[in-house]
Amino acid sequence: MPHTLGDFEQLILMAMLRLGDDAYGVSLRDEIESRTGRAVAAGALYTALDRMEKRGFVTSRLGEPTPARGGKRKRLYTILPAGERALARVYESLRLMAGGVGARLRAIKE
Amino acid sequence: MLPPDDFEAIAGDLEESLNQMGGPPTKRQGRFWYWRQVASIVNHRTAATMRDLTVAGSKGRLRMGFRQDLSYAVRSLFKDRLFAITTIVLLAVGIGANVAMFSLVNAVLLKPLPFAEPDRLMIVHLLAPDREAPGVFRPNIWSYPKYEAFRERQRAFESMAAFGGGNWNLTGTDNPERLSGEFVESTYFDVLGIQAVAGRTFSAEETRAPASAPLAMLGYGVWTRRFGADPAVVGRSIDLNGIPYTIVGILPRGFRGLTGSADVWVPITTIAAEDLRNPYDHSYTVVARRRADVSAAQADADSRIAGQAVETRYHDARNPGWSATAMPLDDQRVDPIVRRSILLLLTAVGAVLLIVCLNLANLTLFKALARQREMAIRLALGASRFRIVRQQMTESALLGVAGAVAGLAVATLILRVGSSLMPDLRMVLTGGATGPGRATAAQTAGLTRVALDYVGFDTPTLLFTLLAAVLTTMLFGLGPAWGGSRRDLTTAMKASAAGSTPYGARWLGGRNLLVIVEIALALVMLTAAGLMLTSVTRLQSATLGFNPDSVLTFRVPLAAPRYDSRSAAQLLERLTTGLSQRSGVIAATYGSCAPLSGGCNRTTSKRPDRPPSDGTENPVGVLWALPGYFDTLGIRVLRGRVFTDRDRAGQPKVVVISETAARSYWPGEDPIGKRVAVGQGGFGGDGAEIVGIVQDVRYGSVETSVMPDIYLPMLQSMRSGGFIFVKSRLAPATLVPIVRQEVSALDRDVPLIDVKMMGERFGDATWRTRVSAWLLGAFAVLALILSALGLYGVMSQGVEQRRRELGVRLALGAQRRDILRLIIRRVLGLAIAGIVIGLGLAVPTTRLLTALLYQVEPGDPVIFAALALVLLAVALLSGYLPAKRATEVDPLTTLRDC
Repeated sequence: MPHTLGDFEQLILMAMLRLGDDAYGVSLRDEIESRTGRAVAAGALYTALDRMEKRGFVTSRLGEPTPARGGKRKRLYTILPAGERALARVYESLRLMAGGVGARLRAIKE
Repeated sequence: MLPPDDFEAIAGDLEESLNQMGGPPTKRQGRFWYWRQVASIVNHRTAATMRDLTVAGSKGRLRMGFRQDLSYAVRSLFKDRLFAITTIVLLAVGIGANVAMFSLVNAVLLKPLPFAEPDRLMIVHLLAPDREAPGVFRPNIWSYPKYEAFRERQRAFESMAAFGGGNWNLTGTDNPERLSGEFVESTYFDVLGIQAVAGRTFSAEETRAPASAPLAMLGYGVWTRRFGADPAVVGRSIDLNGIPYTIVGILPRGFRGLTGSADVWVPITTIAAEDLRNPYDHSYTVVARRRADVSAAQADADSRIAGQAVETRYHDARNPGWSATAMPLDDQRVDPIVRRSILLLLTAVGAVLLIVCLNLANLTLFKALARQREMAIRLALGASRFRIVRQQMTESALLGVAGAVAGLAVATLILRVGSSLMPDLRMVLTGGATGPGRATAAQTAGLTRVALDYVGFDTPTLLFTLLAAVLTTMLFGLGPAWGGSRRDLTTAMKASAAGSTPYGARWLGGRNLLVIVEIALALVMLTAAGLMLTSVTRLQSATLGFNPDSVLTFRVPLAAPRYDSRSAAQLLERLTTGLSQRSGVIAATYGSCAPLSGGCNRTTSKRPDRPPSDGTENPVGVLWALPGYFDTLGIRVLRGRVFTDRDRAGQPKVVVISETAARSYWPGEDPIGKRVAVGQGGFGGDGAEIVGIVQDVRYGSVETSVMPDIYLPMLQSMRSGGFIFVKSRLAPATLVPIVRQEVSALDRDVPLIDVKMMGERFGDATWRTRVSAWLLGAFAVLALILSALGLYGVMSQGVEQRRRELGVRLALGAQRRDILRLIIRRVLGLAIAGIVIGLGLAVPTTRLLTALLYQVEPGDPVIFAALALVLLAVALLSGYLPAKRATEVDPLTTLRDC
């Protein structure tokens, strides 16, 4: 069964595309929080990353330690082709469905 | 729960975020934020795992039953909250104390040292004949030429390296820093299997001949702390003692050398060539890797033979028989006394766990018996026997897990509080190396430090403790559960309705035994703790020979080549004069050794007034002091005078001796005016005149006996490297900046090190004994409380069970007093049986403490008797309440109910 992406997972994959080579826990969280203004729970982020890694959407490797991290290494994430395809699929359907109603959606304030 | 890499990445993320926040408003808020993140991560992860567990898999039916069991167990435990909470608290205490203690033991004693194939590593000692005791040989450190002679001859080791400890001032930066380090041969890193993380280690040529330019390797800690972990630092140069050294490489994280505190490594050839060529300069330790086909015993045998090369080449007619010996590195990692206290505490904490398990067994039995009726009903309604037992086991397991979580919290708390109570655990566990065998003791200290870096939670330990506790609850739950589910239902239901448990008698008999064992264990622990605490009070009142009040001590390292002994001594004299003129300072002085700190020089002394044929050489401790020393430290002058400003170079040489020296070496004579030759400080030959006798001062540990000491005047025999003592009315916080100011006025590049109040040194010196005693005391009190609870439980249960019998007795005319006596007699029976067994066990057990005791005998009858009485009183108290309840039985009601 092909997995679909939850909306939080979509945000993470988008953030990964934006960040390129420097996608890891802190930068992903900052990117999502600063662009969407929505608070990200640390636990949700890591379990989502784990889940997507298990499904073959993303891959990770250990990076270099930096002094700001107390000499601990980063786990850097890269989006895989399967992840890109899934994200593209979701985005495409959203885009198609949003045609003509975008202005109305943007006008709705929470 | 997490693979280490993931853990590192996540911990790093959290740390980075915390730093990014630009420092939260308060430390507390930062911590709150941190733990909220951790909770969020744990929470999400557990939820995800649970989902995986419940969604996947095909054994749906069995799992269904498991979930039902689980929810039933939760509800039933919630219903009987008192039972659940008691069990969890018991488990938490037992597991927590054990995990904390095991973690320490594991790191210090068990875990292999963090080197490649550590079991093949050995320390090779020079075996030196003892001059004072013919036929006795002592392990000693090496001089370089003797080591070379040995190395050429030996066949048992595939590689070996000499190394020595040193200290450097890192200068040429804004804040000079004192670095510890090691002089090493290139083979050092090969022997240990350590590789550079950046750059390279030294080459064989670089440590064989003096290099044209000085080279150094840096430790990971300094590298990150001072150079921001910049790999480009390799090839650059740093200033050590004002001389530029080129950095050739960086050593891996956590590696601090065999001295356990090294930050910098330099080739052994950095040492002056004449020192390296001197066969009598014993300064180096040798570590070697034995060949795979040679056993440790063979390596030692081979070392003893190869060591004869030393005797052949450097024969000493007065002191023949030099050789070598090899010991496994692992055997030398902990000071025997520390090892013994740790094992003692481990045993104590193990006994607490045993008592916890016994109490758990009690509780579970009680609970299982009380539930016989419930089980009978479930059976009657068609539950299978397997299902009923499984249900109860699920409850036990659930309790076990809850207890383990609580236990983990307790362990964390213990380790956290413990490490804040002991500001420098490493120093204390490893300090106090005194007396003979100092060379090996210092090295032992280093290895203990290496091992201490690895204190941390230990999963196997946690699992073991958890398993022990859960197995106990399960085992003792299983019996009654199994038995209970077999009963013919009518009897069980009827009997339970009547309020007694006729089928539990067999199990209850076992409970008495459990209580007896608990009491016996508690007594053993009480006596051990009693002896230790008595030791501590005697230690506290031991005469120190000096007054530690309001004396600040510190050291200023005055390193060559900037300072020679003359200029160092001049600076020290000027510094003490300057300090004593500051307001608030009562006096300032210098001494080569600080009381209670150990590591003082030792040598031999001779009496020139005796004929030369009398070759008696008396061992003495030798100390250098400025004139104000005795006054500043409040050391009483018993006879004669102490040093004055006039006892300078060029004037007649004088010494002051200690009371014990006077009594041991001039028995029945007046030493004042006699002459003595001292083996150090240029006071040999016809020696110096004894001008005074002072009170004994404890320079080593408080526990060991005082040695004979001789004081030399610093103004006649230069000696730097010791301590400055400042007696002052000022608080340390005010005084230290003043001191710093005075020091930097004389030399900006000299750091202050080892700054401590004399009272702290006293605390450090007695810390080991005090901590073991208090911990042991705490465990013993815990054991006492637990066994009192156990006794209380059994007695209440017993009274409950005998209600009917007691009712009948009362109805037939027994007095309430008789009933009380009946129950109390049972309590006494159990308590006395426990005490007798406990005393029997305590005698051999406390004998193991001998080495840790100070002025107390292991079998001290007064302490034993007193503690046995305390235990008896506690037992009576815990038995009194149930007995009281027994007398309140109303014969009418009880008889009617039955």
